[in-house]
Amino acid sequence: MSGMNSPDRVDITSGRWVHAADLAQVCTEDRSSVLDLRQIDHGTCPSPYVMEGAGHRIWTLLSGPCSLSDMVRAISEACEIAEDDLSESIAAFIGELDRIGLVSRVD
Amino acid sequence: MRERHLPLPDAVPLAHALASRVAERDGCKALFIKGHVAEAYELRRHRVSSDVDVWLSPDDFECYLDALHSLGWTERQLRPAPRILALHSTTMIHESWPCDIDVHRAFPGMLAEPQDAFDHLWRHRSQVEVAGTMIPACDRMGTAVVTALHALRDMHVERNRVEFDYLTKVLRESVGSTDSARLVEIASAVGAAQTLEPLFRALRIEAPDPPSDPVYLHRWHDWEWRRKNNNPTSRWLREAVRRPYRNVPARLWRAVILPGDLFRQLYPEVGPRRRDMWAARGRRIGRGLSALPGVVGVAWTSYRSGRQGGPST
Repeated sequence: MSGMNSPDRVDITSGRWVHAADLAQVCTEDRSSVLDLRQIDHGTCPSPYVMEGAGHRIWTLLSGPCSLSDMVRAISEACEIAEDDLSESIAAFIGELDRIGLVSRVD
Repeated sequence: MRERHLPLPDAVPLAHALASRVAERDGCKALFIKGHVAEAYELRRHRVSSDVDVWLSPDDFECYLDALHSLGWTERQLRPAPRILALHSTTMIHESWPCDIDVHRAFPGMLAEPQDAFDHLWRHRSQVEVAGTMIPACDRMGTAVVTALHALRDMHVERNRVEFDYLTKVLRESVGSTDSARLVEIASAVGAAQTLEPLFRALRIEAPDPPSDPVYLHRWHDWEWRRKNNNPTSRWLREAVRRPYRNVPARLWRAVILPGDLFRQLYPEVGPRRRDMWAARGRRIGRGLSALPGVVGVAWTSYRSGRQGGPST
């Protein structure tokens, strides 16, 4: 999850999150590659995003609606890291996914 | 999150989705062929493709290329070598993508007018899922025809022989009378009655009668020449021996002694000195002369076969 920023003004902690509509994606055991097709309608060639490691795990969880606390718990169990140590970085990651339009909130 | 290196096995399906969306956005009729589509129909074993193959309605071909240009895709430059079959596709590349998009305006081995061939397959189109999106594709038997013709064009390549054998095995096990009738229907509609003869023979299906018009025969002759003789000597000879025949000597001379600038484009590895070029010319002529008897023999056989209206194997 390199390159994460702190969450913007969006409140990541409330509601649940899911993959945005209109994405193309290829998910394998160890990575997810994602393309936002809506950018084509806006006249730009979308850049593919490749997620590996914990980012890939989170992306997989987001195939169905998932709250931040659900994600933190799942990654904590999978990686054997304390939830408190993960919460902030996962929130930042979701914030980044939201900023680039790859996830949407399900309230 | 940063954009990272996109692995080829992921890039190709994502590029299918991209290419499909571009066609949909601009109202271009597009059918995806080969690779992922053939695998979706279980007509080909899985292997990582290196490009996307999309067949555009000839009416929409230029519009589609313009659309890709507007998104930063550019045409891969080809070396100016002669070809036996007309150039059937344009390869588009993008600096951020590790795979090409091969945009077809026709399909080799389909000897009908490209628009007629495309329109038939478009009327019977289906959809397959690639990268979580649905993309337009030929129906299963249309995909079988495309897969077979792709292999049959270069059967000297082992991979193509293996894929053709696999295709015929799968079809033998799965094709019923309806599918057989559909294969015959497609072959008639796209002008592949003769080019698909090895497939019909393998499936023990009676091939439809080929057309007898001169344009079709000329295309069939080209196909046979290309299929049996895909080497530089053959291509240059085919380029030289065509109408108007009064220009044949000049074209033959040009083919043997290539102009300097063209020679440099075709053989960029040759050293800068004049004697390097003449030495390379000498080697090239030597290769050509040694290949010539075989080329002439096969060309004559395929010419006679074309005149008699039947395939020769």
